[in-house]
Amino acid sequence: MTRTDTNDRTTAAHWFERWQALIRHALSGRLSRREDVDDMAQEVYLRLLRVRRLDLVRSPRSYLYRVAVNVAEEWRLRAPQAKEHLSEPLESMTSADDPAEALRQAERDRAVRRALELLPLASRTALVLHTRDGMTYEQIAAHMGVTRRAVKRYVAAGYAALRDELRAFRGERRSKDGKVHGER
Amino acid sequence: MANDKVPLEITEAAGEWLERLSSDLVPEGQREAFADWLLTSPVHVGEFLQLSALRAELTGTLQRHPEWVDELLQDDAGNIINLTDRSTSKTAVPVGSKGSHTQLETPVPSSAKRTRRWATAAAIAVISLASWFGITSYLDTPTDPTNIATALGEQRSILLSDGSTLELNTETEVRIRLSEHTRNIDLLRGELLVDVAKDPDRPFRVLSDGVVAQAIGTRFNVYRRDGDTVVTVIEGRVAVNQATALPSNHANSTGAIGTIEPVELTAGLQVAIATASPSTPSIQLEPEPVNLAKTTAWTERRLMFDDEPLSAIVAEFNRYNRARLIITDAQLNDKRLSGVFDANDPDEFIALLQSLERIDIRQSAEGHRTLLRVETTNSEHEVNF
Repeated sequence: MTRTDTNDRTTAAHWFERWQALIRHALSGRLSRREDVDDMAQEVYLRLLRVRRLDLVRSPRSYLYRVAVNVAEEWRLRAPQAKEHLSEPLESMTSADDPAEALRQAERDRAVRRALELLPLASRTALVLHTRDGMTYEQIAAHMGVTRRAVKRYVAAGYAALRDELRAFRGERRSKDGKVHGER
Repeated sequence: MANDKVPLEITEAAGEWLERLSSDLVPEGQREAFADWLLTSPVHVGEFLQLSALRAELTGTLQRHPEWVDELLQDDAGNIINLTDRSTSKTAVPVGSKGSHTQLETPVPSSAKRTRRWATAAAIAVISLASWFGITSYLDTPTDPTNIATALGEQRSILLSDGSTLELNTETEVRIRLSEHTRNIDLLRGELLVDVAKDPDRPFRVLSDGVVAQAIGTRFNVYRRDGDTVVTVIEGRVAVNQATALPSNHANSTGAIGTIEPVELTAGLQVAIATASPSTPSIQLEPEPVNLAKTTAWTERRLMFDDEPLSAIVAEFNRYNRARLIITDAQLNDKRLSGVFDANDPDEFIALLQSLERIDIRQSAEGHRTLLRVETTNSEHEVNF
């Protein structure tokens, strides 16, 4: 399983795992629509501005995530009648043994795979190496025999295309089912 | 068509920040640069969040389906990119060979073509303050009492229908009771920062352990501890008094509460009120000036310490983290330290401590860590664990 030496990535990976469920559930639903992204970004941005010295916050990134998750939570609290994918409480998100959730998860995974398959090989490779193996841009560049700058472009283009595909996928599903998650 | 698409440079920058910040210890200068970049534009914030979510999604999928990885890394000719053998990296990568070469050089146009298809599906969004305020709709009807609690390490802010906000610190539970004429918040445990929206007709009260803090248009912090409640006023005025609103059928409500003089606190003052008991029927209130930044640092998930003993610092970290820090050494416990830390990240505090003192860390199976002072005479021996 180990495709890279794990030493340099274990702490970061561990840190990221802690956030993963939270970010995905709080944000993915939100971030699948452009309007939601902008609303969220605007609100989070305003809250960041309230912190007088953001650079003094020990970890601006985890602070940012915390603020975003809070915003998502608050919106959920305020809009109980909203679409269910936006109003699932964060507490219910870890239910791995919930069959409905497992089904949804499998469907999401397939969508991610389909989206990945549509990417140009270079972008796909860079993304997989980056996310799955936790390689840095430098490591990927060395591995692929290209410059770091090229890797930067592959990854960004990969993210952008992936986002569009997933958005389209969710859009289709939403219009087909009327709402995203029927049973709950 | 122009403004519904984030320029690729921003996506690239967001991706780069995400990559760079993946390591736990981010150098000072980088943090500043990242903060600057974020604060440049909400678009940056949105892009960073999106890529974070995408990355989380992607990592999750690939972890659940490791068997897909090889298939995904096949080029059109069916060549599998060799991931295991990194020593031959430059030659082993077939992406530069024949058919896939053009794709390699120009990943952008091919993805742009596809995205254009979906561009119409994505709604055009104009970033403006107005759009944000537009979506901020409040519940404006009186609601049934609602209990909201935070878990260990969790913080949450809640916007009430009257426009007031409550910020809940870790391990806090409140009961929100809003009616036409009153706004009552019961602080059942924990700590709460209140930003009160002005409404002279509806007094805003926080009730904690027999103490009531009442405000009109102000911002204050209430911390219910074992044995006392600390009220700190950040802006405006707050009257602190005994609670009279306890239900009369409540067994403890008669006689048990000491008679305290109502005290009016102004900004910058703090008062600690001990929980009333038959043995202390009357409590003197002595407001003291406090460091407000310190009182409210928790809302930014920071912990601020001003020359405080390690015992107190460790106790504060343990309010936020399931994996506890333990110091049994008395000398170490008394050591004093100042600093600002991320409440979630005791590692930084430990790293600082280790830079000042030789410290060994014993980690238990549950993840609790005991910090031990190392006698300097033993410093030659490395302790492995």
